[in-house]
Amino acid sequence: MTNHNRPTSPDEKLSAFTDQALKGEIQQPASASTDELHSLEETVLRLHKSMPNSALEESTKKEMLARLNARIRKEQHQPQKKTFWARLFSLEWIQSQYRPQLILAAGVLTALIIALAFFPASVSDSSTTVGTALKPGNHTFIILGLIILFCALAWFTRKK
Amino acid sequence: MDTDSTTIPQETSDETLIQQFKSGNQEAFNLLYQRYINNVYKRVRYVVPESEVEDVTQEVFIAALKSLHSFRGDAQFGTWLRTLTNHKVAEFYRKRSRKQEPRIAPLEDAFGYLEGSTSRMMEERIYIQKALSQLPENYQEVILLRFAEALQFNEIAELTHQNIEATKSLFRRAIAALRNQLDQ
Repeated sequence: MTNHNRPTSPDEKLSAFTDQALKGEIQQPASASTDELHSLEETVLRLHKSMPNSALEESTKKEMLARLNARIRKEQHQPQKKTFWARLFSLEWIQSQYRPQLILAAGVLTALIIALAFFPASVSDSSTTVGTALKPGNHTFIILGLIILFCALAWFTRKK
Repeated sequence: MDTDSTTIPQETSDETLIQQFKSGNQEAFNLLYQRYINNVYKRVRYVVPESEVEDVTQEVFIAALKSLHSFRGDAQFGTWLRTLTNHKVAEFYRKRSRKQEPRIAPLEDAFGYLEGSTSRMMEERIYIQKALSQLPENYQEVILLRFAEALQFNEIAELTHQNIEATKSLFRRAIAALRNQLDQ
């Protein structure tokens, strides 16, 4: 290496040292022990020594590929696991003939809950502050809510 | 899927292999596996306990197999696979923390793994993995690219869209941060 090519900045020096260390050409820090760079070089060597970078042998690669293929084949033959929510909304936990009734019952129940929740808003009052957000004329919100709810139920229970 | 990749020439490009796989040629995936297994395995080995390295590596390739059909080729396959590897490593630690297992294997795990590795070496590896895992992502990445994947600094610069001086500077700061972690 000529003087012209010799690294000068700490960045350059550490990079050049790392290149040599990874090639196995250097086993000891190259900088003076008082340098900041010296401890960085030590870290590079420590990292390199503790994490061997040897490639997998061909036989190991083939064994791993065989295990991967076996696992893929096994997964293909197994039914896919569904998440809790997917199972809940697919209603597969209930016999198919009872599903429409269940959906209807859930719909009615939800409608009742919504109606009860909005009940004070639908009662006319002499006070100017009670139920102003949802006056009897504003039942559109409730109807809209119910429509959205039924749409959501229909979406979740659709056949995929 | 057969384990022998004999009918496709070894020098076939990644893009061609991906196209062939998308057309139903499973053998093309085997060749991609053979081509990239070392990089994935080495990267995983730097950040995951030794006993889990093969499992996580296999998870990466299973995920690749499942999503390769939607790979559009915006990035190189190697880059895409590297991102997938990082996701799988993150997922591994998410699952582990859900089970309330320590992020890095306890030191007792250091004994008994890997033929030819002394327990002292395994212990050191665990310390280094722990220190690495504490580093910011860009520091981890530059160290993994240089050490685990053995990329040259100019290749790292190209990959990370930086100039070489910035890459070397990042590397020095990453090593300094790692040293500080190890000293703690």
